[in-house]
Amino acid sequence: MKKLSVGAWFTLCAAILAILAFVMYTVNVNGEGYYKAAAVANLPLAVWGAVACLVCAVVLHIVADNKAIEILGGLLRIAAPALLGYALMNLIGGRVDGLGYIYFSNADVAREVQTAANLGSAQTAIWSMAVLGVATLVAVVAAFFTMRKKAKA
Amino acid sequence: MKYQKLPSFFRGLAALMACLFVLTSLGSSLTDGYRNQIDGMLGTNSYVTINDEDAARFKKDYATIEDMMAAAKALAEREGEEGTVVMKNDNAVLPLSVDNEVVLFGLAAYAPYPYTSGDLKAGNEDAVDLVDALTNAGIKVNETVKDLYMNKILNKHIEMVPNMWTGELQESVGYDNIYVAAPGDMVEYQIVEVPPELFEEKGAPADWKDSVKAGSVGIVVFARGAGEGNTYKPGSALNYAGEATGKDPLALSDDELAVVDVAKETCDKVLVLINSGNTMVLPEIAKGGEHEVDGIAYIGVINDYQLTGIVRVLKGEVNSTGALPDTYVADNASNPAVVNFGGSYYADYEIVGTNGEDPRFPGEEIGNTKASSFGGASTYNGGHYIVEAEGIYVGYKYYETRYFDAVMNPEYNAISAPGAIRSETWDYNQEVLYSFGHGLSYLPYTQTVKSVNVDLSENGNVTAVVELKNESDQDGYFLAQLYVQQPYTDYDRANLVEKSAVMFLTSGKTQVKAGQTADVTLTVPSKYLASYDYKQAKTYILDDGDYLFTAAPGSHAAVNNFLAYQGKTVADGMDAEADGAVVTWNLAKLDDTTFSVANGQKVTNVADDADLNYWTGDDTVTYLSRQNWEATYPINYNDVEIRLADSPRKDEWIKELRGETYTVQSGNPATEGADRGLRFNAAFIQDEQIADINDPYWDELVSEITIDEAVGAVIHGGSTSDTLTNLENPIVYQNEGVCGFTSTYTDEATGKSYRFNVHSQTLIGSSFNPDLAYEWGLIEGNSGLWLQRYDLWGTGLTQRRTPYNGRNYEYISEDPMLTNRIGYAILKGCREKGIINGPKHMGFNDQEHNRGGVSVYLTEQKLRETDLRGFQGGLDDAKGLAVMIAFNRIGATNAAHHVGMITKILRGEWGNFGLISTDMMNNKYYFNAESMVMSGITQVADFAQNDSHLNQGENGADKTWAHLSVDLVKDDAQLVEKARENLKYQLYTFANSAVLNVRTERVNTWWDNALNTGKLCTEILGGVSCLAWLVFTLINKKKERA
Repeated sequence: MKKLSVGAWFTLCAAILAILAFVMYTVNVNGEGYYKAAAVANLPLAVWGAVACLVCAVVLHIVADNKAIEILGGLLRIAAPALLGYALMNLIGGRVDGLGYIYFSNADVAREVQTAANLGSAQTAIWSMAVLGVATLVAVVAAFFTMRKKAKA
Repeated sequence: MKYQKLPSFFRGLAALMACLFVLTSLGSSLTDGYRNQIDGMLGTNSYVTINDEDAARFKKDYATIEDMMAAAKALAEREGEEGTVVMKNDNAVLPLSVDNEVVLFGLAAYAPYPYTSGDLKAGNEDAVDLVDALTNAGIKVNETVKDLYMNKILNKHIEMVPNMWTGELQESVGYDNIYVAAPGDMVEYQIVEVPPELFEEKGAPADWKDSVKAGSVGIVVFARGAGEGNTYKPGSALNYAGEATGKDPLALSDDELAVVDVAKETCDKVLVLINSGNTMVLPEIAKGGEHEVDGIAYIGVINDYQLTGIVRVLKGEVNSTGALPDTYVADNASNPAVVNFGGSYYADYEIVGTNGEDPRFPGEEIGNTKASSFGGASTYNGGHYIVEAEGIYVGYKYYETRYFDAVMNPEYNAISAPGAIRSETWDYNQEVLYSFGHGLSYLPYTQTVKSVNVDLSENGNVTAVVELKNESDQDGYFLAQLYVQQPYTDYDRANLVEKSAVMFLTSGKTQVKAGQTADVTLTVPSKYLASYDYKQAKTYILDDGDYLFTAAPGSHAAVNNFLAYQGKTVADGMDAEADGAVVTWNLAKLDDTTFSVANGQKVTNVADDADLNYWTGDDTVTYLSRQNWEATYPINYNDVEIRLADSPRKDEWIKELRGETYTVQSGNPATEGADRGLRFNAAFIQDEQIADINDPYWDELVSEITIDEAVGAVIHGGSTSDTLTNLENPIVYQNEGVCGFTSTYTDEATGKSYRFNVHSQTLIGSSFNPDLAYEWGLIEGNSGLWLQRYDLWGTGLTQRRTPYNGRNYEYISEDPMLTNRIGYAILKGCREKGIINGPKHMGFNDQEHNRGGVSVYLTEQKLRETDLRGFQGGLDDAKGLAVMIAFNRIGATNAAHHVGMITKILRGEWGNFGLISTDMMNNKYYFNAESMVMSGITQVADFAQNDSHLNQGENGADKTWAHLSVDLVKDDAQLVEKARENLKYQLYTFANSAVLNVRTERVNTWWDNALNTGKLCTEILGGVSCLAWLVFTLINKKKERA
């Protein structure tokens, strides 16, 4: 572990943030409120795929250091932000209707729709999108760094 | 950069580009779905509407936008002139004289309802308030009291309020004291009228009363707010101090009465103006009341310009010709509909819930605990019900019929205790203050039916000639009202066919010279003379006997005419003598055939299951019948324990409450749509296709629609009708609202903005003038052509069943026929200009409380003769081009699933070919997609656009109803063909509208270009950087090894 560089820690951080976003999403679809039972197509697959890519990339660099690992790990680190971006856009696509309904209806409907449960649900949805967005950003940043510290000469 | 760092840089760049590529690609499709909203926010235009105005079928009547606006403004002023109702006029308080100052009291005098612009108020720059209107008319307004209210009590100001979304502070108009504009849903309602005892505390000079000059007239204005999702709660009033008073929120509070008293104390005469769409309770200020005033006038819910017309009436520049569209009573508790208001839960509503076993929602726990759900819970919304046990006896039909029977038919026990609120036994004059149709004319006149012709042939009319005699020495404008009394026979009594003792048919206005007479010819379809017999004939019948026609200034005067004609006098219990001027038409034999067929369709029962007794299997509900007022006066069924489990039809009942009106079938494959070269445009749609929906073109056209789009376009109708793949039909945007298009027209040459939603539903109702409504329909249509908007939810025709409905201001009247005639005229006018104007909300949306799911139980006679009759004029007689279906259930069936109402009555009997929309689809468990397709809905309203597909969810399933997919529905040809048929109606409607004038072309906006450029750049840069990363990684490794 001591050999891991900032890139590896950023990568792990992105994975943790993605898991956190997924937990928030799960809470959202299982809790009371507007998004109860409102699953988003392909989101779990994309998030867990991205997490797997990120974790595998780190593990590969811990267990070995050769050309094949460098390329495979690199490909995983390129794929992970794309998958997270894909999950983020799906999540936004699945939530934007409801957010419009809750926050941008006319005043009369807004009074009816803005129940505590619905507002709580909408806020959780927004937070899950925000965290997923940050995870994506961190995964991109991580890809600019190497995984291992340079061996001292 | 160090050479060794290049692989990292290019890897990072590749990751960034891959991520951006995904974001821009998916972003493009996501933004494409919300193009309209994004355009609205960014001020871009994604579609260019190409409109060849010279070749258009529908043309504007106004050459310039100024002419268009002037016509709209003039119409709005006429609504004020013709809709103002003088209810009480003693001591010559009206007309107002320019010689006398007026003193305005009450918050609404300086901020009439509605005081903010929106759906109800256009908000044009030159809008006129009451002070402006009076001043413009040369009437002086007391400045001291005006200053008190405007600057010290109301104190209109700009305040900073947090934006609900961003939390940022933004400017908003505020008042220190203002009446509550939205009463909320069955909650306490504070009447924020500042009592005079606080005037000095608020800043009035101690001698403010001295400023009132001798001869002044006090005008006190009281308002009640309203709104979507709002329902007044009986007994919920709070006073100015916020203390519960237990009074009706629609009654005048003690604070308001104190304002009346101070007006009486300081002014010579006092006039009260009622500024509300909800019928108020005014016994204290009416004749004999403790706070009786000289005059009362109804001014409805005003818009930008109506007050100019209202002041013309108050000043006597025009005769007062408005009439009350509702009955004003001394206590709303005397209204039998109010007995069953609000609703209650079934005792065992939970048994409707499922725990994973609903095959449409496998594994999901779905409750039944809420009847209204804008999200927030998984629920079938089927726990709540109301029983409309009053039957056809809504408003005046109850009060006047009971009065008639009290005089004419003592054996019917009209004079009994049930329903008597103000006395021990029922007494009309104790309960009713002002009857339906009441309105005092300044100029004395008489109205008499001279002749009546009843044509029973298909599409035949009742034609009555009414003579108006101007008994004054001034030329004037007068109102004629036509009423009928149908025979109430032994057959009716045996089969519970209810008859009102008086029924409004139609009305009209004309100019009559001083001292002379003029004839008004009034026509109305003869079918409205028939009554629906749901027990025996199971169709419309005309009873044998005399049909009495009279012209009278209101329903009560009409019923007195009928009594006098039948030999009754004050000695028999009538409350006034009448001339008994009646023209009779006799039918020798009961006729159960003439109206048993309509539009080639057999007319028979379609809603037996709307009767609660159908489900309980016994006589749980006794519906009000005039043959025994005492025994049948409604009890409160909210207090009766209704158990679903005890029903002999328990399983059927629960299935319906779960929304399983239709289940997708299998084994009958549908034909996939294929391009046959037909398109939706003027090249293919000629006069013969426009004239006849049975032209083969239409079936061939919709056969091109794929299964995915056929079902998808119906169940994701959205707020825009999308272009379908093989049809190339233009995009059609839906627009609000009931007072006209809410869009703004900006004149590019001058930069000036115009808003045309200047109409008032309440005042068009009280105008009693279908001709004026027709003129508004033309104006509304013309404004659509100017705005290039063709599809509008542009009027409300739901019956005002009780005064408590928060949306009564959107509707016309308690009376179905007044609503029918006004609706007919508005939709006819719009249709002539090619505008698709859909009235809201067909099918007993009688209260906003729990509207999303409440089961409304009623008889089929009520179904056909009350709410639906209100819509029939516009949708049957005028063949209006659209309708929005109610939110609630009819019986246990979601109104949007109701095959009987939508397919059999609307499409079948009425022959309406228009667009049929749901209200907002807010709950997938309550609104069932396949049931809505099968009922005939052409578009389910949701927020999204460009989503007319069934395959946008997980694993190719539907994004909302995951149990639906192309794979599932393709085996149900009946469902798919019904969806295509529904779209055929919708496309045919577009062809019959100004939509066919136009074609829409997509153009790329700057944000489209940005996304497309982003996509291309990230694609190229991503590929290059990935390659570079690979190359440098390999070179690097080689070097390391070396």
